[in-house]
Formats: sequence, structure tokens, C-alpha cells
Amino acid sequence: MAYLVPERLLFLAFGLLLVGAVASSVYRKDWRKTGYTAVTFMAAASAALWVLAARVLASGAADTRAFLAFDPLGASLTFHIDRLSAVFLLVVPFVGLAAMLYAVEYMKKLYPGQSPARYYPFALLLMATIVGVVTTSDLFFFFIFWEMMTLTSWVLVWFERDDETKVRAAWQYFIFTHVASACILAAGIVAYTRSGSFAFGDIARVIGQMAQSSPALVHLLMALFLIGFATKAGMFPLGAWLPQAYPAAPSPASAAFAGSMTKLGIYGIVRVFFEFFQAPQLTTVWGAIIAVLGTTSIFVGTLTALREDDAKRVLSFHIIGQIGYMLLGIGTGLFFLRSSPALATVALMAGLYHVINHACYKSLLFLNVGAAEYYTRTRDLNKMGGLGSVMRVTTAAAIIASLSIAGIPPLSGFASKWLIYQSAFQGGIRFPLFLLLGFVAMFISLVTLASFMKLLGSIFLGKQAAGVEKVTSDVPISMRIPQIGLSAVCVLLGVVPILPLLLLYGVAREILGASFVPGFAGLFGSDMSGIALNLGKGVTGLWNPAYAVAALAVCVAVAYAISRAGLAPSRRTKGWYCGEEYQPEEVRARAHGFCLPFKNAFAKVYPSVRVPRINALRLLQRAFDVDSWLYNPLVNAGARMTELLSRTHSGIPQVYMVWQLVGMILAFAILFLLLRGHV
Amino acid sequence: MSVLGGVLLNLILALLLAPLFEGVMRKLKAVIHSRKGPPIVQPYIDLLKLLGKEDLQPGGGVIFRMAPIVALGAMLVAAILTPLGGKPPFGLAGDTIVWVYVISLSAVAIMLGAFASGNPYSYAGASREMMMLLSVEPVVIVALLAAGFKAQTLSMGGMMDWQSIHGPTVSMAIAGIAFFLALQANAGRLPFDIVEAESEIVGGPFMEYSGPRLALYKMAFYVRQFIFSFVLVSIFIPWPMVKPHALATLFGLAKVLVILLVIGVIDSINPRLRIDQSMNYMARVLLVAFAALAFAAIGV
Repeated sequence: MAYLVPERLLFLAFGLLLVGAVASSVYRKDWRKTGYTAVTFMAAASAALWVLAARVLASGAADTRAFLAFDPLGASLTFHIDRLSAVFLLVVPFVGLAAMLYAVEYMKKLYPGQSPARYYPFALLLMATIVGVVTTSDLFFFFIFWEMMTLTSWVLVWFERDDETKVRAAWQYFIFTHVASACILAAGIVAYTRSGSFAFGDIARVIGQMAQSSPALVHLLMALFLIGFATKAGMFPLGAWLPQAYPAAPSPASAAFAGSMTKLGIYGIVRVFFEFFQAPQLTTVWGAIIAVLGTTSIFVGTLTALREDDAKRVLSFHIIGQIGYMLLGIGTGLFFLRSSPALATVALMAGLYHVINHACYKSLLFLNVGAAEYYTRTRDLNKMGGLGSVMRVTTAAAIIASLSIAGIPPLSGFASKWLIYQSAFQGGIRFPLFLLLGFVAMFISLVTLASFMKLLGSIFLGKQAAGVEKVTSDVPISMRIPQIGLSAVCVLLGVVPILPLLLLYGVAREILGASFVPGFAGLFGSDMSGIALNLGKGVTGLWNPAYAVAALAVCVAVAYAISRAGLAPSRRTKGWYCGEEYQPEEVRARAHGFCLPFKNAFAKVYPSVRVPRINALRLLQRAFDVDSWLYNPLVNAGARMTELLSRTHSGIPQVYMVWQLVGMILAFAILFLLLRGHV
Repeated sequence: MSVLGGVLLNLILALLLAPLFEGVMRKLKAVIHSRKGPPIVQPYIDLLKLLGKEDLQPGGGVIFRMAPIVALGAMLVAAILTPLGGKPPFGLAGDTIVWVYVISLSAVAIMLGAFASGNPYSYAGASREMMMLLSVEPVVIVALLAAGFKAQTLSMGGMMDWQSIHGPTVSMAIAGIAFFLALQANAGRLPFDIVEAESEIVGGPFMEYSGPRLALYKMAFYVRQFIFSFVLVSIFIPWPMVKPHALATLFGLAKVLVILLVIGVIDSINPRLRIDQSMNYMARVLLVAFAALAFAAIGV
């Protein structure tokens, strides 16, 4: 295996993805052939990346030689694959491969008139750029990969060019992400002027020096980086583009975005805040900022998602909410970096754990919704229903994914959210603000549940709706396999949390320093079947999925035994509607009505900002119309002022006397204050 | 006591004693109504009879059939994570947060079963169930967070120990009041029996269920009010401390009886609230719970 050095594996993967992109643009018309070509190349590249990730995880970080050195610029294409990169190299190809396989039949059926060359090459290029982003260790080339990622994904968002709203969404995405990229570039250039090099190591060193000499500049850098990365991640309020752009792309592309691209914002934040800014006195305040912004994101994003009736828009708003959980974990980690190494470690790991989980279940959910769209051709929750009776695999996968994202034990979302709650609680003991943040996270977890109950209830359960095409079978096998794979991972990550935790513990040791991070058994207990959280003051939290699942199995068996104890006969009947069911469609309960009073209680939680259209002629006209913007407001303001003054003239002598008295006291008080030193 | 023994004890207590409290509450309600009322063992008779009745399945499907089984199963898991007298016997499987979410698993099963039945009344009931969860659970969470904050741990046994050793504090008293105010809804009692609301939505999520599956739902309902009352007495009013496990359990049962009698009186003399009124009420109770948390944060 000596032949497979990390450098070669990485370039093999790049090569496969690029050749795949070229190859998949050859078959001009045949969706299926093109699709399987792309899947083959993607699978080969994934295998290379997994081997690479495994090697890095087994034997530590790997560097490559420098390529394309721009000596006058101090930039060169170097790759540094460490454990953090390796985690992303495990997750991203997995999700990408699942989405690619899913796309074969999906795209063929839904877009028969389009050219496959507009989808597969860009999907493969997107993967290549993502791999570049997570492995490069030079800020200049990081930025180039980042931009290429934005562009290729933009082409995918722009896939349906004849749909006006989707084109608009694509442009919005383009503008938002480029403003964000500009922030990253600006921060990079500022750092470069001091260090003379774009290498991550040099920048980290220079920023370490700047923390002493010019802390204000370092704060500015952090703000710029945060804006840049948080916009890509979709954090509120910078993620307004996300619920427009993701639904506009075809479902497999949305799944790939949700599973990989969004997470790179988090990757950037972790990379920059934990590696570049190693001065804890500066990161503490940014930890609080990130945690609070994250919690706002949780609150606003999820409550807005509950109000949406378009399946993919629901999922997109939930990305904003779920990103908040990751940021809450990471922010808590940053905040306690100086005061409590154990807590900082656990919180950082919790945030990253949620990244992995979210990548799996959110892409799975996009695939589920796509499967429903595959037959019904609609994403409107009010129009669908009852697909579960025929689409069994999809429904089972959708239930697993929904319960995962809602944080119901023993699935994956619960394990990472549990760690986030624990970190927030432990943070709250040291600094009570975090108790509030933890509470919001726990409360919104229930709102997430509400939203996904609505989704499940209206797409998959109940009776089939009459308004759409009658569905008679599940989606083709090549669309079921990705769903089965992803849901298996959702279960696995939840039931065996120790696996991802061991992985992430290595990441935390690498990021925070081996001497900083307490021992694994000390933090999570020595029982490998579960977590016994111990931050130095005894065990304060317990979650053992192995025991819990066993207990649940036994208790469900007991319940089943009770239900069969009377040997009751069973019979299929028709439902009872308190009388004859005249028109099934008329009495159907619609998704929009689910939790309506609750939704109304939280109406308008997401401020929708209308971007004004600039009309030069109108502006000029307005500029000359002095009355409207200068004279009238002034006169009106004057009139209002006099009206206020006139209210004091009540005509009652006693009131005037009170005024006089108050005035006199004030006058004396002022005199007293002025003359205090002189008399 | 060994883990297995404790688990068995909790399961038996939850399965066998929970209906008894229901019987007592029915009797109490009859007394308040100046009726004779059914015998105290009536819930057992109901359950036994339901177990033998025909099981009508309009929804068909695995989800419809599994829902009551998972609902009761999850509630039983919650029962072995709950301190019934002594420390929670299966505390090593999960702490307070796990407890809260295992209970929501039960609610999830109820909702999925309701959706699967395809009945619009059930759908309305599921929607209400979700809203009750959304409004009541935060109170429970904050009250338990306050207790956890005082005890500096989220394991239920640890919270119970801290409370019984350190005696009453202002914050815990307020948290206990908030928990008690939410208990009425957690026990599914008037004025908060909005989910079933027989006179409005004909039993809501349980409308299409009959026979043994309805019996399971009823069981889950009884177990739920039993363990919520026990959490109140174990964590917020654990005094006086008595040593042998059996005696502690008896003491706990006596206290639960008192609590449930109060709940029963409130149940008998109140009309049902609308769901929005209930949410408003719970929002205020949540403020009380936050006050407890604030007091805990300043150390009283």
C-alpha cells in the first residue's frame, strides 16, 4: 500500500472527478448513460477519498508538495489533510455519491427535455471543489476553490432557466455569496499584508502577533471571516438566500448542497476561529457572539420553517435552524476555551458531531421529498398525502430522518443535540446566559418535531390525495438504495455515538492541542456503549443508547404482549367520520392547518426584507420634489411639536402651580449643583 | 438493590398501580358530582375488557398498528428512568434530557398513529397534541433545568439527592410550583384534556382505535400521569427522607395520591380551555419557571 500515499490519492480523486465531468458531458441526450458514468467516477473518487481519510485518521495529518507556486504573491497550491479535513472527506463523498446515484432516475423522469451535460459535470465539479476547499492549506487557493464551488453550485441552482422565480433565486444566491466571498477575500488580504504569505500557518502566526499589537484589527478580521462563512452556512440573518436557492435546484442537487456545501461554512468557522486565532482573550467574546447568533438562527429559522407549506422550503429553513445548533456548540466551545478545557472540547465536538449528523439526515430528507415529487410533481404539502401505503421504503427512511432531525432518541440527531444541551447546561452553570441558549435549543427541538410531524403527516401518512397523479409503487431501486444507506447511517450514528466521538476526539486533540484536551475516558466515561459525561466534577449527564434501545425493545415487547393477551380478533374496517363521508377531499385535513394557533402566535418571526428596485428616473424626480422630502416633513414635525406643547396648557390653575413648583425645584437643584463648590 | 430488580419494580409499579390512581380520581369526581361513581378498580376492569374486544383497523398499515405499542413502550422506558421512591433504577441509560425526549417519543407515536388512521378528527387531535407538547414541555424543561442547575448535574438521581440533602430553597419551591401547574396538562386532565376532547373531536388521535390498542393508549395515559406526579414528588418535594427503598416508595405513593387528588379536584371543577387559551396560560407558567431559573442563578 506504500504506493497509495496521500498526495497520490488526493490527485487521483481530483483526476477522477475532472475526467468524470468531461466524460459525463459526452452523452448529449441519454440521461441514464450519463448518470451511470457520473456515478462510476464519483464512486471511484469517493473510494480514493475514503482511503485517504482512513490513512490520515490512522497515521496523522499529511502534507503534499507545493504546486503552482506564485512566488511574488507568496501563494502556492499546498494541501494539508488533517483529521478535520478527513472527517469532511468521509462525509461529503458519501452524501455526494448517494445524491448522484439518486439523480440517475430522478433527473431522467423529471427533466427529459434538458441536457444531462448541464447537470452531471457540474455536480462532479462541485465535489472536486469541495474536496479542494477542505484540503488546501493556502488561503489564496482556498478562496479560489471556494469561488469555484459557488459558481458550480450556482449553475445547478440555475438549472431550470425558463422558470422566472428560480432564475431570480439563482441571482440572489450569486450576489449574496459573492458579497460573502468578498469578506473572506478582504480578511485574507489584510492578513496577507502583514504576513507576506497566504499559507495558513504563516497567517495564524501573524495573527498571534497582531493579537498583542493591534487587537482591533484582529476583531475586524474575525468579523469579516464570520460574515463570509456564516453566509455560506446560512446563519440568520445572513442566510436569506438559502430558502430561495436550495428549493430551486433539482432535489439530488439540493441534497448534495445540504449535505456538503452548507457544512463548509462551519468548516471555515472552525478552521479560522480555532486555528488562526489562538489568543483566547479575543475568542471569548466571539464565542459568545457565535453562540447567540446561532441560537437566534435556531429560533428564527425553525419557527419560520413551521410556517412553510412547500416541502423543500421547509427543509431549507430547517437548514438555517440546524446550522444554529452547530454554531451554538462551536460558540460555546470558543467561549470556554480559556476557562474550561473540558467543556470547550465537548462543545466543539458536539458542534462537529451535529455537522456530520445533519449532513446525513438533511440530505436524506431532500431525497425523501424528491421521491414524493418524483410521482406527484408537486412539493405543496397541502396537495399531497398517503404515499406511505405504496412507498414503504421511502416512508420508513423519511420517518427515520424526521425523527433524527427532531432529536428523538435513539437516532443520530438526539445524540449530537444531547451533547449540545449538555454543553449549554454546563456553560450555564459557569455563565447563566448559556442556560437560556440551551433552553431555546431544547424548545426549538420540539418545534422541529412539529414541523416534521406535519411533513410526515401530509406527505406519507393518511389517505392518498385526489388532486395529484395516483401513485402505485415506490421509487426505482436506484433511488431507494441511497435512502436506505443514509437512513442506516442516521441510525448507526445515533445508536453508537462512541464511533463519531472517537473520530471527533482526534479532531479536537489536533485543533486544541494534545496537552489541552482531557483524556477521552475522563470526558465520556470508559463504557464504550454510551456516554457518561464528566467535566471534572463527577458524572453530570448520561446517555447510553445501547441500554436505552435494549430497554425500549423489552418495553415494546411487553406492550405487544399486553395487546395480544386477550387474543382479540382484528378486522379491517372503514374509518368513522361521524356520519357518511360525502367527499373525501373536502374533509381532508390540510398541512396548513397543523398547529395553526401556535404558528399564529409566532407570526412574522422571520423579518422579510424587500430589496428595493432602484429606478433612477423616479429617484431624480423625487430629488427635485423638495416639498415631499424637506418642506412637508419639517412643517408636520413642527405642527406635532406645537401640538405636544399645547397639551400642557390644560387651563387648570393647580396644574400650572405644579409645573411652577417642579420648575422651581429643578432650578434650585441646578443652582445647588453649580454653586456647590463656591458657597 | 440490583439494577434489574429496580427496573422490574418500576415496571410493575407503573403497570399495576397507575390505573388504581385513575380509579381513585374517578371516585373523587363522582363524589364531587354527588354521584355514587364506579368502583375504584373500574379502570382495571375496563382495561381487561378492552384487551378482549375486537380490534378494528381502519388505517391498516404498520404505523397504525405499531403506534400504541411504541407509545406504551416509550412510556415504560420513561418509567424506569423515573425515580419511583428510590433513585431511577435505569439511570445509567439516560438522564433528565433523555427522560424528556423519551416521553416525546411516546407523543410522536400517538401523532403518527393519528395521521396513519387518515381521519380528519385524528389529524386535529394530533395537531393539538403537538401544540400541547410545544407549550407544556418547555415548562417541564425549565423547571428541571433549574433543579439541575442547583444540583449541578442533570442525572435525576443526583438532582433528587441534592434536593433532599440541602432542603427547601426559594428557586426550587418556585420551580416545583411551575412543574405542578404544568402537571395538570401533563396528566391530560381538565381543563387541559384538549387533545382528546371527546365532545369536540371525538377522542382525537384515539378516535379510530378500539380494543387492545385502545387499552394500550389508556395504559400509556395512566403511566404518564403516574410518572409525572412521581417526578414532582421525588425531585421537588423529596422530604422526609426515609431509608429503606420499600418505605420510600410507599411514602412516594402517598404523596402522589395527595397530588393526584388535588389534580382531580381541579379536573372536576373546571371546564375545558381552548388550545390558544391553554397556550397563553402555559406561557405564563413558563415565566414562573423562568423566575425559578433566575432565582437559581442568583443562588437562592
